[in-house]
Amino acid sequence: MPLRTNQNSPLRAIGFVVVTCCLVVLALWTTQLRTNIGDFFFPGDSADSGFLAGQVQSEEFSRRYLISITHKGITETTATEFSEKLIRQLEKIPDVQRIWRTQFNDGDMGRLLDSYQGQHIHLFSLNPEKDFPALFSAEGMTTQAETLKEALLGPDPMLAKSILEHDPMLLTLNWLRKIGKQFNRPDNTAGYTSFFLETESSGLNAIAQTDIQNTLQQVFTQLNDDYNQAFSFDTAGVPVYAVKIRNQSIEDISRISTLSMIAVALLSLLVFRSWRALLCTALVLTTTVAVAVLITQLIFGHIHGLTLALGTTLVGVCIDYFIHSMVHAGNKTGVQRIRAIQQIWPTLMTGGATTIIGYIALSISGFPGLQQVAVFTGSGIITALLLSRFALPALMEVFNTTITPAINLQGLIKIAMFTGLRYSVFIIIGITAIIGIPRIHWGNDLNMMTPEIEKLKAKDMAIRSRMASLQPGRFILIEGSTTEEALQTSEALLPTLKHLQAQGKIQTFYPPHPWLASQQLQSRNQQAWDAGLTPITRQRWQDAVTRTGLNATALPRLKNTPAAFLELNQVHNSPAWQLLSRQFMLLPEKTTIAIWLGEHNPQAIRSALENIPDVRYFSQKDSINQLATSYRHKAQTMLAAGIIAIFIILLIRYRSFTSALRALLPATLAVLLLLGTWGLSGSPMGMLHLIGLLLTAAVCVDYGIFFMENKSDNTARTFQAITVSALTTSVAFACLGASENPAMHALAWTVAPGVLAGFLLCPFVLQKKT
Amino acid sequence: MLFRVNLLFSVWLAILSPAPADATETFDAVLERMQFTENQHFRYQETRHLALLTQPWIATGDMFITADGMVMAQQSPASILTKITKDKLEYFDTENDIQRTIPLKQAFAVPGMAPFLQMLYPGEQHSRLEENYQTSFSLEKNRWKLVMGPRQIDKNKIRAMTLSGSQGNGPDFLKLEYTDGDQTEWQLSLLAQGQDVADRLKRILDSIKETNAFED
Repeated sequence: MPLRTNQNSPLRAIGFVVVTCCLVVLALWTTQLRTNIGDFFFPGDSADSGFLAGQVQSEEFSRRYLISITHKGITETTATEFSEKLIRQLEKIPDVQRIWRTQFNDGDMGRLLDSYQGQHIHLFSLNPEKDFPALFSAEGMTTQAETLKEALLGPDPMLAKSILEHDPMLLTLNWLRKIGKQFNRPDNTAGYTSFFLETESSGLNAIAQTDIQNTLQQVFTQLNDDYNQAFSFDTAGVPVYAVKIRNQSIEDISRISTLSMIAVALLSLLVFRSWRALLCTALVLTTTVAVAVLITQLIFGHIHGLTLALGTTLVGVCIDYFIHSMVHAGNKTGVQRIRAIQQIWPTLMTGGATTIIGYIALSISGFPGLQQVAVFTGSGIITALLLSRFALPALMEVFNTTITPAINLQGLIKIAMFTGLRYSVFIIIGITAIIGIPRIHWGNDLNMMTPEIEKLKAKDMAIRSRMASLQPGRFILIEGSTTEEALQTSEALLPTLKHLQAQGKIQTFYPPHPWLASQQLQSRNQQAWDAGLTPITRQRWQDAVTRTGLNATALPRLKNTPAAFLELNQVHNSPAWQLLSRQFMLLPEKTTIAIWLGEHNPQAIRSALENIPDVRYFSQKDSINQLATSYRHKAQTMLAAGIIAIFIILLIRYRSFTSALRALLPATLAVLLLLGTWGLSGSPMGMLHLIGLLLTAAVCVDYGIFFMENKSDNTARTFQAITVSALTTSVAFACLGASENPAMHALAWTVAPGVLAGFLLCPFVLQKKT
Repeated sequence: MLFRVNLLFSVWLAILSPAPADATETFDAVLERMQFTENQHFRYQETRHLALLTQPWIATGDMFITADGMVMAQQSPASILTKITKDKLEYFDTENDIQRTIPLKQAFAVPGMAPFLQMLYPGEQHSRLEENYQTSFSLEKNRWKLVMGPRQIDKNKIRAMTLSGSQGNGPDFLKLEYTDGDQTEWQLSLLAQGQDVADRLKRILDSIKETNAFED
């Protein structure tokens, strides 16, 4: 292929700068940064995590704040006055749609009774064939008549009379008794006032929610000042998570990227002693990152904050190709420069391919966030390779960049020639691996990804526990292809739960019934009522009310069931939905119902549900641990598969088993050394460390390839290039250690030392005796 | 049982603060006298005349007015405790093991009895009483009489409420008339006031606590 002259290099370079600027502007303009943690963590391929992700993403649920005011040691009157004033002021915030307390107030109760008017028979019993005959018995009638009298003489005869018109036996009272437990607050509510606040803006709209949270805090602080700061204020809910994650991501991205850029720039400057080289590198790196952002945005429609944070390591990986090219072409000009880069191009391609393999392996580990990281980094690497080959020579020409790295590890190459030292290195690594690897303590580090979220989750649970007597994060999940099917399954399950309750294995539980019943159950109730309502039972009722001291002639006559069945949409429009909305997950293809649980014995519940189809016990903590274990196992498999895939690429490239093995050896030894060291250190290893090891292997293989191929026939020069590459990569990954997120620390302290070990091992492992 | 406390209870509130006799009794003076100033303990008798009952129903018990709210301890025909504070109403039927708590949307806005509680514990709603109710105040012999009727009458709600008492004193009689013709009457007599009332209330609450039905 004829080599182009350097006459049009300035034009190409100017064009390149213009294109870079356009790409950066386009990336900034089009990128949608998302910080919803559900996107990153939950794969959506399991019903459990799907339910969690769905709940988090549910528009209605996500717009709710749980607000708890602590007022311990303050009189009830003052606390009430404060919370009333606060709620009134919060209601005036433009984005606040509604605020409601954790219990029904009188207005809610009125609306509830209106919504459920005429449904007292449909919702009467789970076992109508048994319970209606019992009701129509002489004893049942007497009991019901006494209930009626009690209601008329109770605290609200007006309400009782209003129900009588449609429900002469006041069966609605039986229904209200069943749901009554929903109103009983747990014992730990003393000293707290809790309520819900729903916003108009989406809970995941972190910008709008930041404004709302600031306003909430401002309103609270101003009012609290009037009460000498006697109150404290806690908020929980999806919007709080969204804002926290966004802030953490943005802080991390800006901190890591700034630090990483500065560190790499300073290192480059120190090594190359050339501003021009730095400018040249910065330009191609900027283009690489802009292209990676645009491609990720194009494929996923958004880019996640954690992807960007992890993606900053791309700088450290891609700079290797530029540095390698610049070092090899650095002291040449014109056509020789292009020729030099052409010469190492196959080597760069092989190195790039093996690194991409590593990231592809990551993407199929099942961890959704890493798929984006893989696309981001993979596209970045391809761009970097293409730029190294087709743009870098022109840029070097324009900037008149000639490079001779100031760093020179010739001494190491000489030392590595000593056979004894070589064997010593192998023996040390071998012993470390043999002793350390069996001692590795595997931990589940998924929670580590979001330490702040864990804290928020604990606060969320504390606030929720002040609102209802249930154990947050543990519930029973019921699935059905339709809502009717799911409701039927939940109704069939209730005898089992009642049995467990009788055994003391579960304190309480909150099923959809009696708020809602399947059409099948409603129909059975209706049939049982109609069948039982005969002239004899009518007369029996009249006798019972007369005996109780009630005026039978003033009571409305018992009628057959007149109302239509209760539908889910009616419940949706009633105050009951405030309590039920989080129990229903309605999707076109299926409906999932959650039954919340009070104090319970998880093992007993799990065992009892074992053989019931479409029903399972769900523990959020167990589920996340299982998810983490599953990710870790997949990551272990992917680490092995990734290394095998890299080996196959090397085999194809070299057509020699020995050469492929040799190229892979520094990376393999580095990984073994890291594994052994982690084992000996006693620190737990998790999925993130395995990901780090895979990246280490993918990057170190490049050094093996560069060193072994030595296209310039100058081992010292090649090792110089590798040294600079390894240092910049290590520094870039080490910068992840500056993140607030310990997950980034795991990557930092795996990849940074791994890369250094991999590069230092090259002369010991790959150098031929000459 | 359902959740609202009868308007009748509120009447008792009006009985607060008996004051020295005054020949020029006025509506404003009566209203001012109703406002809470110190703890009080009353004995009451409630009589309900309901079309659905063949005989009138009579209940007796004790009522306590404190700074935080009102406590009613019905003694017969059954032991029932009702506690009303600014933000909630709690109902405890210890014999039948029934407990209810109703959060209140506004301060002391117990359905039906809101105007009385707001007379007793004046707040933002107090100034709106005359906007929402028609009032008629009169003097007959040595007694004053106040009749209040909501300007907007809802079905199954209170049609009229009559309070009366001897001149210079708080109310000792209350009658509630419902839109369906039912009526409830309350007769009240002051037993004690001052610090001693708190001790009496504590003793009653303690005795109920022993049944594990009620907690402060």
